[in-house]
Amino acid sequence: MQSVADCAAVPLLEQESINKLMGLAVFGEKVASKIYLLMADLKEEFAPLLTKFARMEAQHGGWFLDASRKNGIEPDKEFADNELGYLISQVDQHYADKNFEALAIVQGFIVESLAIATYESFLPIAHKYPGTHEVFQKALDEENYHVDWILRYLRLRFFDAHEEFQKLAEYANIQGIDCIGGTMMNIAEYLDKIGMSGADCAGAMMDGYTQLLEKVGFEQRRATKHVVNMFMPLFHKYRRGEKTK
Amino acid sequence: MLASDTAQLTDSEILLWTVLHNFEALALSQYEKFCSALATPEKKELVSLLFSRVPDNKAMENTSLDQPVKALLDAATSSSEKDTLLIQGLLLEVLGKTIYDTFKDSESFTAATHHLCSVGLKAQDSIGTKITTAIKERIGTAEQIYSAFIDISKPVILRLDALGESLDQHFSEQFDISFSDLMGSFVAELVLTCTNLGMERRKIVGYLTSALMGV
Repeated sequence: MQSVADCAAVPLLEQESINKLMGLAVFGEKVASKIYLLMADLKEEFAPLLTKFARMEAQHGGWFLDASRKNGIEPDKEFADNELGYLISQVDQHYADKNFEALAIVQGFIVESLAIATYESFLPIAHKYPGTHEVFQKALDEENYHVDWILRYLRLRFFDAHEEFQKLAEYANIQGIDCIGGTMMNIAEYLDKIGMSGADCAGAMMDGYTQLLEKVGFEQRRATKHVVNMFMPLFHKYRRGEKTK
Repeated sequence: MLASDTAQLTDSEILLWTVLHNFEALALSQYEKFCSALATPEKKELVSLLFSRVPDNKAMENTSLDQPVKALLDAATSSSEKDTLLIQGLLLEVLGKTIYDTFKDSESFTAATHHLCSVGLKAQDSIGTKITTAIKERIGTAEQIYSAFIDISKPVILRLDALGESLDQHFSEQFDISFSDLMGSFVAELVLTCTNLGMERRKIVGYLTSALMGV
Protein backbone atom coordinates (compact mmCIF):
# COMPACT_ATOMS: atom_id res chain seq x y z
CA MET A 1 0.00 0.00 0.00
CA GLN A 2 1.24 3.46 -0.82
CA SER A 3 1.79 5.86 2.04
CA VAL A 4 0.85 9.53 1.90
CA ALA A 5 4.54 10.31 1.57
CA ASP A 6 4.80 8.02 -1.45
CA CYS A 7 1.97 9.88 -3.11
CA ALA A 8 3.34 13.34 -2.36
CA ALA A 9 4.30 15.30 -5.44
CA VAL A 10 7.97 15.11 -6.29
CA PRO A 11 9.38 18.63 -6.25
CA LEU A 12 9.67 19.83 -9.78
CA LEU A 13 13.31 20.41 -10.55
CA GLU A 14 14.50 23.36 -12.54
CA GLN A 15 16.38 21.03 -14.87
CA GLU A 16 13.26 18.98 -15.58
CA SER A 17 11.35 22.20 -16.22
CA ILE A 18 13.85 23.68 -18.66
CA ASN A 19 14.06 20.32 -20.45
CA LYS A 20 10.31 20.36 -20.98
CA LEU A 21 10.19 24.02 -21.98
CA MET A 22 13.04 23.66 -24.44
CA GLY A 23 11.39 20.52 -25.80
CA LEU A 24 8.29 22.54 -26.51
CA ALA A 25 10.33 25.38 -28.04
CA VAL A 26 12.43 23.11 -30.29
CA PHE A 27 9.62 20.82 -31.47
CA GLY A 28 7.00 23.59 -31.45
CA GLU A 29 9.12 25.51 -33.95
CA LYS A 30 9.18 22.41 -36.15
CA VAL A 31 5.39 22.23 -36.05
CA ALA A 32 5.22 25.94 -36.88
CA SER A 33 7.46 25.24 -39.85
CA LYS A 34 5.13 22.46 -40.98
CA ILE A 35 2.08 24.73 -40.71
CA TYR A 36 3.66 27.43 -42.87
CA LEU A 37 4.54 24.76 -45.45
CA LEU A 38 0.92 23.56 -45.50
CA MET A 39 -0.22 27.15 -45.94
CA ALA A 40 2.27 27.57 -48.80
CA ASP A 41 0.77 24.50 -50.42
CA LEU A 42 -2.72 25.99 -50.28
CA LYS A 43 -1.89 29.43 -51.72
CA GLU A 44 0.51 29.32 -54.60
CA GLU A 45 0.80 33.10 -54.79
CA PHE A 46 2.22 33.24 -51.26
CA ALA A 47 4.24 30.02 -51.45
CA PRO A 48 7.70 31.64 -51.74
CA LEU A 49 7.13 33.85 -48.68
CA LEU A 50 5.47 31.17 -46.57
CA THR A 51 8.20 28.69 -47.47
CA LYS A 52 10.69 31.28 -46.26
CA PHE A 53 8.72 31.58 -43.00
CA ALA A 54 8.83 27.78 -42.69
CA ARG A 55 12.62 27.80 -43.09
CA MET A 56 12.93 30.51 -40.44
CA GLU A 57 10.83 28.50 -37.99
CA ALA A 58 12.88 25.38 -38.62
CA GLN A 59 16.01 27.42 -38.07
CA HIS A 60 14.68 28.64 -34.71
CA GLY A 61 14.30 25.02 -33.68
CA GLY A 62 17.90 24.39 -34.71
CA TRP A 63 19.18 27.41 -32.78
CA PHE A 64 17.29 26.34 -29.66
CA LEU A 65 18.63 22.80 -29.94
CA ASP A 66 22.23 24.04 -30.24
CA ALA A 67 21.77 26.41 -27.30
CA SER A 68 20.24 23.59 -25.26
CA ARG A 69 23.20 21.31 -25.90
CA LYS A 70 25.64 24.02 -24.82
CA ASN A 71 23.75 24.35 -21.53
CA GLY A 72 23.28 20.67 -20.76
CA ILE A 73 19.56 20.85 -21.51
CA GLU A 74 17.86 17.77 -22.98
CA PRO A 75 14.77 18.97 -24.86
CA ASP A 76 11.95 16.67 -23.75
CA LYS A 77 10.46 15.32 -26.97
CA GLU A 78 7.88 13.12 -25.31
CA PHE A 79 6.46 16.08 -23.40
CA ALA A 80 6.45 18.21 -26.53
CA ASP A 81 4.79 15.49 -28.63
CA ASN A 82 2.08 15.16 -26.04
CA GLU A 83 1.39 18.89 -26.05
CA LEU A 84 1.64 19.30 -29.81
CA GLY A 85 -0.36 16.25 -30.91
CA TYR A 86 -3.71 17.99 -30.46
CA LEU A 87 -2.48 21.01 -32.40
CA ILE A 88 -1.23 18.87 -35.26
CA SER A 89 -4.55 17.07 -35.60
CA GLN A 90 -6.39 20.43 -35.81
CA VAL A 91 -3.93 21.72 -38.36
CA ASP A 92 -4.30 18.58 -40.47
CA GLN A 93 -8.07 19.03 -40.41
CA HIS A 94 -7.86 22.68 -41.52
CA TYR A 95 -5.47 21.64 -44.29
CA ALA A 96 -7.78 18.81 -45.40
CA ASP A 97 -10.59 21.41 -45.53
CA LYS A 98 -8.26 23.67 -47.57
CA ASN A 99 -9.01 26.35 -44.98
CA PHE A 100 -6.03 28.68 -45.40
CA GLU A 101 -7.53 31.41 -43.23
CA ALA A 102 -8.12 29.04 -40.30
CA LEU A 103 -4.49 27.94 -40.55
CA ALA A 104 -3.44 31.59 -40.63
CA ILE A 105 -5.34 32.27 -37.42
CA VAL A 106 -4.11 29.15 -35.63
CA GLN A 107 -0.47 29.64 -36.63
CA GLY A 108 -0.17 33.39 -37.12
CA PHE A 109 -2.25 34.47 -34.16
CA ILE A 110 -2.61 31.69 -31.60
CA VAL A 111 0.68 29.77 -31.86
CA GLU A 112 2.70 32.93 -32.45
CA SER A 113 1.00 34.64 -29.47
CA LEU A 114 2.16 31.80 -27.22
CA ALA A 115 5.68 31.96 -28.65
CA ILE A 116 5.94 35.74 -28.40
CA ALA A 117 4.57 35.87 -24.84
CA THR A 118 7.00 33.21 -23.60
CA TYR A 119 10.08 34.35 -25.55
CA GLU A 120 9.59 37.94 -24.38
CA SER A 121 9.31 36.79 -20.78
CA PHE A 122 12.31 34.47 -21.14
CA LEU A 123 14.73 37.22 -22.24
CA PRO A 124 15.21 38.78 -18.76
CA ILE A 125 16.31 35.39 -17.35
CA ALA A 126 18.14 34.15 -20.46
CA HIS A 127 21.51 35.03 -18.89
CA LYS A 128 21.10 31.88 -16.77
CA TYR A 129 21.60 29.86 -19.95
CA PRO A 130 24.54 31.34 -21.87
CA GLY A 131 23.95 31.89 -25.56
CA THR A 132 20.15 31.71 -25.34
CA HIS A 133 19.46 35.44 -25.18
CA GLU A 134 20.75 36.08 -28.68
CA VAL A 135 18.81 33.26 -30.32
CA PHE A 136 15.56 33.92 -28.48
CA GLN A 137 15.77 37.63 -29.30
CA LYS A 138 16.33 36.80 -32.98
CA ALA A 139 13.49 34.28 -32.96
CA LEU A 140 11.22 36.79 -31.24
CA ASP A 141 11.96 39.44 -33.87
CA GLU A 142 11.20 36.96 -36.62
CA GLU A 143 7.97 35.76 -34.98
CA ASN A 144 6.83 39.40 -34.89
CA TYR A 145 7.75 39.67 -38.56
CA HIS A 146 5.57 36.64 -39.36
CA VAL A 147 2.68 38.03 -37.32
CA ASP A 148 3.01 41.33 -39.16
CA TRP A 149 2.42 39.57 -42.49
CA ILE A 150 -0.44 37.42 -41.19
CA LEU A 151 -2.07 40.54 -39.77
CA ARG A 152 -1.77 42.40 -43.08
CA TYR A 153 -3.10 39.38 -44.98
CA LEU A 154 -6.13 38.93 -42.71
CA ARG A 155 -6.90 42.67 -42.66
CA LEU A 156 -7.00 42.75 -46.44
CA ARG A 157 -8.77 39.42 -46.83
CA PHE A 158 -11.50 40.47 -44.42
CA PHE A 159 -11.55 44.16 -45.25
CA ASP A 160 -15.19 45.22 -45.00
CA ALA A 161 -16.06 41.64 -43.98
CA HIS A 162 -15.59 41.79 -40.23
CA GLU A 163 -18.55 39.57 -39.46
CA GLU A 164 -17.12 36.86 -41.70
CA PHE A 165 -13.77 37.17 -39.93
CA GLN A 166 -15.37 37.01 -36.52
CA LYS A 167 -17.23 33.83 -37.42
CA LEU A 168 -14.06 32.24 -38.75
CA ALA A 169 -11.99 33.35 -35.76
CA GLU A 170 -14.56 32.03 -33.33
CA TYR A 171 -14.56 28.72 -35.18
CA ALA A 172 -10.77 28.46 -35.30
CA ASN A 173 -10.38 29.67 -31.75
CA ILE A 174 -12.60 27.17 -30.01
CA GLN A 175 -10.11 24.37 -30.57
CA GLY A 176 -7.10 26.59 -31.04
CA ILE A 177 -7.24 28.26 -27.65
CA ASP A 178 -8.31 25.07 -25.93
CA CYS A 179 -5.16 23.53 -27.36
CA ILE A 180 -2.57 26.31 -27.18
CA GLY A 181 -4.04 28.00 -24.12
CA GLY A 182 -4.14 24.55 -22.55
CA THR A 183 -0.44 24.16 -23.27
CA MET A 184 0.17 27.54 -21.65
CA MET A 185 -1.57 26.30 -18.49
CA ASN A 186 0.35 23.02 -18.61
CA ILE A 187 3.72 24.80 -18.78
CA ALA A 188 2.89 27.52 -16.25
CA GLU A 189 4.51 25.71 -13.32
CA TYR A 190 7.63 24.93 -15.39
CA LEU A 191 7.91 28.60 -16.29
CA ASP A 192 7.63 29.49 -12.61
CA LYS A 193 10.30 26.96 -11.77
CA ILE A 194 12.93 28.51 -14.04
CA GLY A 195 12.28 31.99 -12.71
CA MET A 196 9.62 33.25 -15.11
CA SER A 197 5.94 33.74 -14.27
CA GLY A 198 3.45 31.36 -15.88
CA ALA A 199 0.60 33.71 -15.01
CA ASP A 200 2.35 36.72 -16.57
CA CYS A 201 3.03 34.73 -19.73
CA ALA A 202 -0.61 33.61 -19.88
CA GLY A 203 -1.76 37.20 -19.40
CA ALA A 204 0.63 38.43 -22.08
CA MET A 205 -0.58 35.73 -24.46
CA MET A 206 -4.24 36.58 -23.81
CA ASP A 207 -3.67 40.29 -24.23
CA GLY A 208 -1.45 39.89 -27.29
CA TYR A 209 -3.96 37.61 -28.95
CA THR A 210 -6.89 39.88 -28.07
CA GLN A 211 -5.10 42.84 -29.62
CA LEU A 212 -4.49 40.90 -32.84
CA LEU A 213 -8.21 40.11 -33.09
CA GLU A 214 -9.00 43.79 -32.56
CA LYS A 215 -6.62 44.82 -35.32
CA VAL A 216 -8.47 42.66 -37.83
CA GLY A 217 -11.94 43.77 -36.86
CA PHE A 218 -13.16 42.63 -33.47
CA GLU A 219 -14.53 45.41 -31.28
CA GLN A 220 -12.42 45.61 -28.08
CA ARG A 221 -15.10 44.47 -25.65
CA ARG A 222 -16.11 41.55 -27.86
CA ALA A 223 -12.51 40.49 -28.45
CA THR A 224 -11.68 40.54 -24.73
CA LYS A 225 -14.86 38.73 -23.82
CA HIS A 226 -14.29 36.13 -26.52
CA VAL A 227 -10.73 35.39 -25.41
CA VAL A 228 -11.49 35.40 -21.67
CA ASN A 229 -14.47 33.06 -22.19
CA MET A 230 -12.18 30.53 -23.78
CA PHE A 231 -9.54 30.78 -21.08
CA MET A 232 -11.94 30.55 -18.11
CA PRO A 233 -12.33 26.74 -18.20
CA LEU A 234 -8.55 26.46 -18.52
CA PHE A 235 -8.04 28.65 -15.44
CA HIS A 236 -10.46 26.47 -13.49
CA LYS A 237 -8.58 23.34 -14.44
CA TYR A 238 -5.28 24.98 -13.58
CA ARG A 239 -6.50 25.98 -10.15
CA ARG A 240 -7.66 22.45 -9.49
CA GLY A 241 -4.30 21.09 -10.56
CA GLU A 242 -5.81 19.28 -13.55
CA LYS A 243 -4.08 18.88 -16.88
CA THR A 244 -5.92 20.73 -19.60
CA LYS A 245 -5.71 18.07 -22.28
CA MET B 1 -47.41 50.96 -10.69
CA LEU B 2 -46.23 48.98 -13.68
CA ALA B 3 -47.41 45.42 -14.15
CA SER B 4 -43.75 44.33 -14.15
CA ASP B 5 -43.35 45.71 -10.62
CA THR B 6 -45.65 43.05 -9.27
CA ALA B 7 -45.04 40.28 -11.80
CA GLN B 8 -44.17 36.94 -10.27
CA LEU B 9 -40.59 35.81 -10.07
CA THR B 10 -40.03 32.12 -10.65
CA ASP B 11 -38.43 30.05 -7.87
CA SER B 12 -35.06 30.15 -9.63
CA GLU B 13 -35.34 33.90 -10.09
CA ILE B 14 -36.18 34.31 -6.39
CA LEU B 15 -32.96 32.45 -5.59
CA LEU B 16 -31.01 34.60 -8.06
CA TRP B 17 -32.38 37.87 -6.70
CA THR B 18 -31.82 36.73 -3.12
CA VAL B 19 -28.13 36.47 -3.97
CA LEU B 20 -28.10 39.82 -5.77
CA HIS B 21 -30.08 41.50 -2.98
CA ASN B 22 -27.35 40.55 -0.52
CA PHE B 23 -24.71 42.22 -2.68
CA GLU B 24 -26.74 45.34 -3.45
CA ALA B 25 -27.61 45.76 0.25
CA LEU B 26 -23.95 45.41 1.18
CA ALA B 27 -22.96 47.97 -1.46
CA LEU B 28 -25.49 50.49 -0.18
CA SER B 29 -24.47 50.03 3.45
CA GLN B 30 -20.79 50.42 2.53
CA TYR B 31 -21.52 53.56 0.52
CA GLU B 32 -23.57 55.02 3.38
CA LYS B 33 -20.70 54.34 5.76
CA PHE B 34 -17.73 55.45 3.65
CA CYS B 35 -18.82 57.29 0.47
CA SER B 36 -22.19 58.89 1.01
CA ALA B 37 -22.23 60.45 -2.45
CA LEU B 38 -22.61 56.96 -3.90
CA ALA B 39 -25.65 56.14 -1.77
CA THR B 40 -27.88 57.71 -4.40
CA PRO B 41 -31.69 57.71 -4.32
CA GLU B 42 -31.61 55.27 -7.27
CA LYS B 43 -29.40 52.85 -5.36
CA LYS B 44 -31.70 53.11 -2.35
CA GLU B 45 -34.71 52.52 -4.57
CA LEU B 46 -33.11 49.37 -5.98
CA VAL B 47 -32.33 47.93 -2.54
CA SER B 48 -35.77 48.81 -1.28
CA LEU B 49 -37.39 47.16 -4.30
CA LEU B 50 -35.26 44.05 -3.84
CA PHE B 51 -36.25 43.95 -0.19
CA SER B 52 -39.90 44.01 -1.19
CA ARG B 53 -39.41 41.16 -3.69
CA VAL B 54 -37.00 38.96 -1.75
CA PRO B 55 -37.17 40.08 1.89
CA ASP B 56 -35.04 37.30 3.39
CA ASN B 57 -32.45 34.62 2.65
CA LYS B 58 -34.82 31.66 2.92
CA ALA B 59 -34.43 30.69 -0.74
CA MET B 60 -30.67 30.52 -0.40
CA GLU B 61 -30.49 28.68 2.92
CA ASN B 62 -29.48 25.03 2.68
CA THR B 63 -28.31 25.44 -0.89
CA SER B 64 -24.77 25.13 -2.17
CA LEU B 65 -24.82 28.90 -2.76
CA ASP B 66 -25.14 29.83 0.88
CA GLN B 67 -21.54 29.40 2.01
CA PRO B 68 -19.72 30.77 -1.08
CA VAL B 69 -22.05 33.79 -1.16
CA LYS B 70 -21.35 34.50 2.51
CA ALA B 71 -17.61 34.08 1.90
CA LEU B 72 -17.75 36.56 -0.97
CA LEU B 73 -19.84 39.03 1.04
CA ASP B 74 -17.31 38.75 3.84
CA ALA B 75 -14.38 39.39 1.47
CA ALA B 76 -16.21 42.34 -0.07
CA THR B 77 -16.90 44.05 3.25
CA SER B 78 -14.39 46.88 3.47
CA SER B 79 -13.28 48.98 6.37
CA SER B 80 -12.22 52.15 4.57
CA GLU B 81 -13.32 54.57 1.92
CA LYS B 82 -10.50 53.53 -0.42
CA ASP B 83 -11.32 49.83 -0.21
CA THR B 84 -15.02 50.51 -0.64
CA LEU B 85 -14.37 52.54 -3.78
CA LEU B 86 -12.23 49.79 -5.30
CA ILE B 87 -14.13 46.70 -4.20
CA GLN B 88 -17.70 47.93 -4.33
CA GLY B 89 -17.37 50.90 -6.63
CA LEU B 90 -15.05 49.42 -9.20
CA LEU B 91 -15.10 45.62 -9.03
CA LEU B 92 -18.60 44.70 -7.89
CA GLU B 93 -20.44 47.53 -9.64
CA VAL B 94 -18.88 46.34 -12.91
CA LEU B 95 -20.02 42.82 -12.07
CA GLY B 96 -23.53 44.06 -11.30
CA LYS B 97 -23.69 46.01 -14.54
CA THR B 98 -22.55 42.93 -16.45
CA ILE B 99 -25.23 40.79 -14.83
CA TYR B 100 -28.03 43.28 -15.41
CA ASP B 101 -26.93 43.95 -18.99
CA THR B 102 -26.79 40.23 -19.72
CA PHE B 103 -30.15 39.37 -18.14
CA LYS B 104 -32.22 42.38 -19.12
CA ASP B 105 -33.05 41.20 -22.62
CA SER B 106 -32.69 37.47 -22.14
CA GLU B 107 -35.81 35.48 -22.99
CA SER B 108 -34.90 33.00 -20.28
CA PHE B 109 -36.13 35.46 -17.65
CA THR B 110 -39.58 36.78 -16.81
CA ALA B 111 -40.68 40.40 -17.12
CA ALA B 112 -40.21 40.72 -13.36
CA THR B 113 -36.49 40.08 -13.69
CA HIS B 114 -36.24 42.35 -16.72
CA HIS B 115 -37.78 45.11 -14.64
CA LEU B 116 -35.41 44.56 -11.70
CA CYS B 117 -32.48 44.65 -14.12
CA SER B 118 -33.61 47.98 -15.54
CA VAL B 119 -33.87 49.41 -12.01
CA GLY B 120 -30.41 47.99 -11.30
CA LEU B 121 -28.96 49.62 -14.40
CA LYS B 122 -30.59 52.93 -13.47
CA ALA B 123 -28.89 52.70 -10.08
CA GLN B 124 -25.58 51.99 -11.82
CA ASP B 125 -26.02 54.99 -14.09
CA SER B 126 -26.62 57.21 -11.09
CA ILE B 127 -23.20 56.44 -9.61
CA GLY B 128 -20.96 55.48 -12.55
CA THR B 129 -19.31 58.84 -13.11
CA LYS B 130 -19.21 59.59 -9.40
CA ILE B 131 -17.21 56.42 -8.78
CA THR B 132 -14.60 57.27 -11.42
CA THR B 133 -14.24 60.79 -10.06
CA ALA B 134 -14.06 59.63 -6.45
CA ILE B 135 -11.44 56.95 -7.23
CA LYS B 136 -9.23 59.49 -9.01
CA GLU B 137 -9.67 62.11 -6.29
CA ARG B 138 -9.20 59.81 -3.31
CA ILE B 139 -6.59 57.37 -4.58
CA GLY B 140 -4.53 59.32 -7.09
CA THR B 141 -2.68 58.46 -10.27
CA ALA B 142 -3.43 55.48 -12.47
CA GLU B 143 -0.40 53.67 -11.07
CA GLN B 144 -1.54 54.30 -7.50
CA ILE B 145 -5.03 53.08 -8.35
CA TYR B 146 -3.56 49.94 -9.96
CA SER B 147 -1.34 49.21 -6.94
CA ALA B 148 -4.21 49.71 -4.50
CA PHE B 149 -6.52 47.58 -6.64
CA ILE B 150 -4.17 44.60 -6.88
CA ASP B 151 -3.41 44.89 -3.16
CA ILE B 152 -6.96 44.24 -2.08
CA SER B 153 -8.98 42.69 -4.87
CA LYS B 154 -7.48 39.21 -5.22
CA PRO B 155 -9.44 37.55 -2.35
CA VAL B 156 -12.66 38.95 -3.77
CA ILE B 157 -11.91 37.71 -7.29
CA LEU B 158 -10.95 34.28 -5.96
CA ARG B 159 -14.13 33.98 -3.92
CA LEU B 160 -16.18 35.15 -6.86
CA ASP B 161 -14.56 32.47 -8.98
CA ALA B 162 -15.21 29.90 -6.25
CA LEU B 163 -18.90 30.75 -6.48
CA GLY B 164 -18.95 29.75 -10.15
CA GLU B 165 -19.64 26.06 -9.72
CA SER B 166 -22.66 26.64 -7.48
CA LEU B 167 -24.00 29.35 -9.75
CA ASP B 168 -23.75 26.99 -12.73
CA GLN B 169 -25.41 24.23 -10.75
CA HIS B 170 -28.43 26.40 -9.96
CA PHE B 171 -28.74 28.70 -12.95
CA SER B 172 -26.82 27.51 -15.98
CA GLU B 173 -29.41 25.18 -17.48
CA GLN B 174 -32.36 27.20 -16.24
CA PHE B 175 -31.24 30.49 -17.71
CA ASP B 176 -29.00 29.26 -20.52
CA ILE B 177 -25.94 31.14 -19.31
CA SER B 178 -22.70 29.79 -17.95
CA PHE B 179 -20.48 31.30 -15.32
CA SER B 180 -17.61 31.32 -17.84
CA ASP B 181 -19.68 33.45 -20.22
CA LEU B 182 -20.60 35.82 -17.44
CA MET B 183 -17.00 36.06 -16.25
CA GLY B 184 -15.86 36.69 -19.81
CA SER B 185 -18.22 39.65 -20.07
CA PHE B 186 -17.29 40.82 -16.60
CA VAL B 187 -13.53 40.72 -17.21
CA ALA B 188 -13.96 42.45 -20.59
CA GLU B 189 -15.96 45.22 -18.93
CA LEU B 190 -13.52 45.44 -16.02
CA VAL B 191 -10.51 45.74 -18.34
CA LEU B 192 -12.24 48.58 -20.19
CA THR B 193 -13.19 50.34 -16.95
CA CYS B 194 -9.64 50.01 -15.62
CA THR B 195 -8.08 51.32 -18.84
CA ASN B 196 -10.51 54.24 -18.72
CA LEU B 197 -9.07 54.97 -15.29
CA GLY B 198 -5.67 55.15 -16.95
CA MET B 199 -4.36 51.71 -15.94
CA GLU B 200 -2.10 49.90 -18.38
CA ARG B 201 -4.07 47.25 -20.20
CA ARG B 202 -1.31 44.62 -20.32
CA LYS B 203 -0.78 44.97 -16.58
CA ILE B 204 -4.42 44.70 -15.68
CA VAL B 205 -4.92 41.67 -17.95
CA GLY B 206 -1.83 40.08 -16.42
CA TYR B 207 -3.10 40.73 -12.92
CA LEU B 208 -6.58 39.36 -13.63
CA THR B 209 -5.04 36.29 -15.26
CA SER B 210 -2.93 35.57 -12.20
CA ALA B 211 -5.90 36.18 -9.89
CA LEU B 212 -8.08 33.79 -11.88
CA MET B 213 -5.30 31.21 -11.98
CA GLY B 214 -5.13 31.53 -8.21
CA VAL B 215 -1.46 32.49 -8.27
